[in-house]
Amino acid sequence: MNRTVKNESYFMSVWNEFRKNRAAVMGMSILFAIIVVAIFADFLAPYDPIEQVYADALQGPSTAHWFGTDEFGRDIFSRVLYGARVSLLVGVVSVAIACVIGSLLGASAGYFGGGYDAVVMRCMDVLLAIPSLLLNLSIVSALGKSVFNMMLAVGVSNIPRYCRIMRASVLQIKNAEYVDAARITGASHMLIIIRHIIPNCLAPIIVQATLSVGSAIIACAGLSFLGVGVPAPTPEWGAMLSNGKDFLRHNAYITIFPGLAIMLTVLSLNLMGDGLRDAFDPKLRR
Amino acid sequence: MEREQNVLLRAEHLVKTFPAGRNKVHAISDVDITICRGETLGLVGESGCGKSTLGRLILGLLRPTEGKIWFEGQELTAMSKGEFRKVRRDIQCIFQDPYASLDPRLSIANSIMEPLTINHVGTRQEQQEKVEALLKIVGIPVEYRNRFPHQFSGGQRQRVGIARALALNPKLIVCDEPVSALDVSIQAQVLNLLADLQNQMGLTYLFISHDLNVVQRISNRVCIMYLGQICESGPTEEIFAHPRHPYTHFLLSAVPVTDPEQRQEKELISGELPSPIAPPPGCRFHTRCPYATEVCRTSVPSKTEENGHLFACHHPL
Repeated sequence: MNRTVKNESYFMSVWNEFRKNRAAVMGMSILFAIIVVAIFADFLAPYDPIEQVYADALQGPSTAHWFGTDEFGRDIFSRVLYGARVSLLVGVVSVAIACVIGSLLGASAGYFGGGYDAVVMRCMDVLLAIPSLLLNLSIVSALGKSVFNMMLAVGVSNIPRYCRIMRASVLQIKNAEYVDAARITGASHMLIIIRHIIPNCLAPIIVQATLSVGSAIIACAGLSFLGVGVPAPTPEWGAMLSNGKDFLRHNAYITIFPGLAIMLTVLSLNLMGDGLRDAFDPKLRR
Repeated sequence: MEREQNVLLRAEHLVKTFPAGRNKVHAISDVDITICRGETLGLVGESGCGKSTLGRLILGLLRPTEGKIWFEGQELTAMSKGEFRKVRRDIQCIFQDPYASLDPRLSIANSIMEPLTINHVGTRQEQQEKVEALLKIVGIPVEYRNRFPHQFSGGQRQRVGIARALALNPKLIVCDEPVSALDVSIQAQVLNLLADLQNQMGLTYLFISHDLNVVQRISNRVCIMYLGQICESGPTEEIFAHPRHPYTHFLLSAVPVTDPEQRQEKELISGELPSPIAPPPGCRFHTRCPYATEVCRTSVPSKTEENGHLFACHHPL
C-alpha cells in the first residue's frame, strides 16, 4: 500500500493543526507584529519617548501626535511603541517562570503524592497566604532592584495557581491505564510525566497562562510605581496606565492607548492559547 | 519433571495488603501460581477477589508485601530497579478498557512505537517498519497509523493495545479482562486474534477474566480465586467437568446455558463477598458455603493435589 505514510512527529501534527485555526494564526500574527514593533521601536517611533516638551503637554490625538501627549508633553504613540519592549518581556517572562516552575511542581506533587506532595502543597499555601504585593516587594528588596528580579518576583507569586491546577489534573490522569502501560514498557517517571501526564493536563494551564499575561503586566506596573521595578522615565504600559489615571476625566486618551496595547497583547496571546489548546487535543481537531 | 523445566513464571506465598485507614485490605493472601511456557492460564473470580491485583504484582506495577516471584529462574522481587527494567520488557499487558489504555494525545503509531523508543530497539527506520508489521498482524490498515484513538471503535482500539503489547516480543502477556469491555461479536474476533498470535509467536498468557465461557474457550489451565486466595486450580477440562471446590461448583452452575434441554436447576451462592479488610477465619468461603462445618470455621484448609488438580477444601465434592 502507501509506503510513504510516515509517523508524524507529535509537534509537527500539533503545528499542522494550529495552522488550520484562523483565529489562532491571527493571534500569532498580532503577537509577532507587536514583537517586531518592540524590536524596531527606534526606527518606528516619531519622537523620543522620554523627551519632555512642556509646550506640547496634554494635547489630544492629532496628526503631529497620533495618540496625543501626556502631562510632560511626551508623545504617547512613541511611548506605546517603546513600552512594548519592557511590557511584553515582563508579561511573558514572569508568566513563563510561574508556568514552568508551577506546572513541574504540581505535576510531580500529584504524581508522586505522599510526603513530597504534602510538603510542596504546604509551601504553596504559604505563598498564597502572603499578599502578592508584599511578597513581590520582599523578593525584589531581598534580591536587589532590577527588571529581572521584578519578573522573578511576579513569577514566584503566581506559582501556586499553576501548581494547584496542574496537581488537580494530574491526580485524575495518573491512574489512567495508558500510564500503567507506559510504566510496564519501562518508561521512567520523568518520561511518563513529560510525555503522557503534562500533555494531557495542558489545556487549563495554557488558558490560565495566556489570560494572566495582562495581569502580570499590571502587577509589574504596580511594582514600578512603588519604585522597585522599571525606573520612572522608561516607557512601560502599566506605568503609563497608572500615571494617566489622574487625567482620566479630561484626557482619557493617556490611559486608553496603553490600555488598548495591553488588551491587544492579551487578546493575541489568548487567541493563540485557544488555538494551542485545541491543537494539542486531538479530539477537538476537525 | 518435564513441567518443572517449562516453568516461565512462578510465584510463592504472595501477599499484598493495602493500608485502609487503621486497617489493612488483604487483597492477596498466600497465593502460589505457576505459569508454564506456551500455555494460557485462566484466572477467574468475582469482582474484588484480587485477580487484577495479582496481575499487577506480576507486571511489577505493585510490589508484593510478602512472597517471591521468579521469571525464567530469576527472582524479580529481589532485583534492583535497573535490573528489573531489563526483564520487564518480557512481561507485557493487555488492558481491560480500550478507551483508557491508549493515550488520547498520541497517534496509534506513536503509541505502538513508544515501547520501542523507550527501550532503544533498532533505528528509527526499523521502528517504523516494526509498527507497520504490528499493525498488519493485528489487522489495522497501515494507512490509519496517524489516526488517534478516538477515531477507532472499541475493538480496533483493543487491537492497537495488543499491537503495543507485542512490540517488545514479550514472553508473557498478562491479559487483564481484555474482552469484557467489548461487544460479544467483537469479543470473538479479539479472542481468535489472541489465539492466532499464541500459535504464531509461542506466547504465554495469564488470562484474567470473570467470564467463564471465555476462559473455558481460551485457557489450558484455570485458577479459581476467592477473596484473595486460589481455591482451586487445574486443567481446564478437568475443572469444568469435575469441580472439587464448592465455590467452583456454584460458579459453574451460574453460567447461563443456551440449550434448554441441558438446563438444570441453578444453585446460586447466597450472600455477599465478605470484606477483604476482615476476611473470615478458617476457610474463607465458609460464610457462604452450604457444606461448611465447624472445622471450616476454625482451620485453614490445606491444598490437596490429584493429578495436577489442586484444591483447598475440607469437604471436597
